[in-house]
Amino acid sequence: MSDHDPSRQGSRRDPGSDAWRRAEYPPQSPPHREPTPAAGTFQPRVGSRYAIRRVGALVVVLAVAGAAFWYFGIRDDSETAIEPAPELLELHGWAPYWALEHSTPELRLRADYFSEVSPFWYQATGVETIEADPNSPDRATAAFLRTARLEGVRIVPSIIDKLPAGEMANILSNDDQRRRHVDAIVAFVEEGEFDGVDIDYEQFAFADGKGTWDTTRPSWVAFIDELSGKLHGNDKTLTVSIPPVYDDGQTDDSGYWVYDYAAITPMVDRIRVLAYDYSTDEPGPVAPLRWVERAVQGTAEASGDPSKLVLGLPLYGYNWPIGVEGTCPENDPSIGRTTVNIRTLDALIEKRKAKPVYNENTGEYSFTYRVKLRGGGQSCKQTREVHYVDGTGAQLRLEIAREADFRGVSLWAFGFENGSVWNRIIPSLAKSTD
Amino acid sequence: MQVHLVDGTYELFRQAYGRAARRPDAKQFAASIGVLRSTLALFSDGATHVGVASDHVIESFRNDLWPGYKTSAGMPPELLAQIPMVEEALDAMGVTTWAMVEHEADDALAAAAAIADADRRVERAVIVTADKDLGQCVRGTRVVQYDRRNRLFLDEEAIRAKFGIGPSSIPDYLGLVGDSADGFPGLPGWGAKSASAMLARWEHLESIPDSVRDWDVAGLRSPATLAVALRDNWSEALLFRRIATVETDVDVGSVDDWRWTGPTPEFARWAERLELPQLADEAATVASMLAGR
Repeated sequence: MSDHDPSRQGSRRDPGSDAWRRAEYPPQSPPHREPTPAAGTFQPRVGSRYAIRRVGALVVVLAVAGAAFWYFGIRDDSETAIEPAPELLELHGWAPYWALEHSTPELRLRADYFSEVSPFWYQATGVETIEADPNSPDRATAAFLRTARLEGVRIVPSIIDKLPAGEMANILSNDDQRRRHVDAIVAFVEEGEFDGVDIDYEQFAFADGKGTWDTTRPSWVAFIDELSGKLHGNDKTLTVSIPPVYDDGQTDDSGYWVYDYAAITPMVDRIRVLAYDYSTDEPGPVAPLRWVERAVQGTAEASGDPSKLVLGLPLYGYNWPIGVEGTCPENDPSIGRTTVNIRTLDALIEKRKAKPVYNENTGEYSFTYRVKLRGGGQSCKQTREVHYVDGTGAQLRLEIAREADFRGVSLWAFGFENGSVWNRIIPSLAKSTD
Repeated sequence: MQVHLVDGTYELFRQAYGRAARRPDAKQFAASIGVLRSTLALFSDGATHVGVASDHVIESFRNDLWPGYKTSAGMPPELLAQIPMVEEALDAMGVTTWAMVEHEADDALAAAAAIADADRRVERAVIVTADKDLGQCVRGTRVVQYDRRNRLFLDEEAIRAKFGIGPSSIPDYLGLVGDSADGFPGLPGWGAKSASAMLARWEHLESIPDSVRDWDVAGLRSPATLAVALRDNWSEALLFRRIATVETDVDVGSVDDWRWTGPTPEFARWAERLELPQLADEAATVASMLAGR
């Protein structure tokens, strides 16, 4: 499927109503299989013998380990004692309007696992204006909210910064405008009878330029301080979704320090760390493992409280043009970089007879294929390269968060996943009903 | 090569209510024997690669989605007891068997059909079931459904003739009209004719315009009522479609795994347990016949 045409933050940008309507349905079968089968479904007769062998081997290993434990007199209170297993994680999910046909019914099945869901179709378009994206379908968005309420899932809608570069920073730097903006958000939450709000203002990081960060940073902290005070006064929660830092400094290598993790952590309920979109200008991995580790460690260090941190899990990829012969048709959105997600990938792989290759270093798959494009009397042959994170990759990143004592993970996006993602992450998730 | 993918649960029930099982002198395990014999018949007719999917547990993840979804309640216990029995007997007969727990037999069949469809060596994949849900897996004349009882092959053209819509719209269709056999009701006022007419025009639910003024479908009865029902029950429509959509993310191995090479030595014991020892000889005969081809 050819998805929307994203820019730098393409994976989180709305695709426009056409793309939503273009969504292929139903999802095709996966022609490639993951390294290990999904848990608990098919009971292979032959496979069970292997399972017995594995259990036998485990028993032997445990027996030997137990004997060594006894022989060498290792005590429970020694430094080498087994560490307690990391806590189970809470689950968040951004639910973009263009994937509601999947996320709405799925919410019924997965409601117990969600700590909070964030409808992803609200945007700040002025000091006091917060409105639904005009492309979001009323019928589908209303149904999602109704389902979440029926299932008792906390609704914490995301508000994105839809203003031109620099304008939100200007609003926040003006005491009066900032106060009015805070009041508008609080009123939005009250009127919508939401449980809280997720502030997802990424223009500071990706549009305003680093030169503005010194002045934006204190305004942002003041904004969060005032907003959290008013929301908490109304028994509402405040979540923020922001890109990562790699340390607690303010250097070129420190990441997106404009968001001042240290200052805002005590004020907010949760910080969702957007640890993806690593490759945006050239073909490459979405969220390579070492970079994710660096982001996780950096944000944990800078925030000082990983129990408020939630790692964003990418369930998508990018499809890049890397070579072309001829002249491609103008105005064809599929000639540039497009996005794919786990649900749509299988159809693409099958259609192009592609053979995804797993990279152990990045924890991601990639493949290339060639395609002919025609239109308007022009034609070209493109070579395209796809990089993506699959269910196994989501699990790997989740475990990084878990090991770092993060509070949870958040799906970008709820509705992009397939059954294999659930099979892989569910064992590490806490049920919200527990 | 042709691939045959059999709905074992449907086949067991078909055999249980068939003529042989209803005879006064019918054996206790007549239904299971019927499944084994009908599978052998496939091999006698030239099938080489066969997989049988069954509902090891009738309840599946779909029961968590909709409280009224079908359960094992009310099903004859003596028949339910034969499900694991026939799975093991088929396994001993050397037939690839997918005993589903979290998912359903339909999901395994869909996953296997997709794998077969993607394999260039496969000329045709035949899904042996009369269940209309599986119509969504039909692709041209390459992946087809076979209704054994009526001896009817359904390719994509036949699906269109039967439902008025293509295979890709079958889940949407069931989302609107429901499926009483599976236990979900569909939307008020929506019936086969209206769903078929609308999806023939718009293919999927999302494409149906919000405003009834844009419903340019001739002969639709009470379109305004239908539009209100769709608007007010949109999440249910999506939910029922989700329930009706087969999951292909099920591990069923590859086409090569499904090749039948004859019964295992264990099968003779199963034939005795089923009080039909000659069944082992029948299986061995079919296997040698197949090997000689």
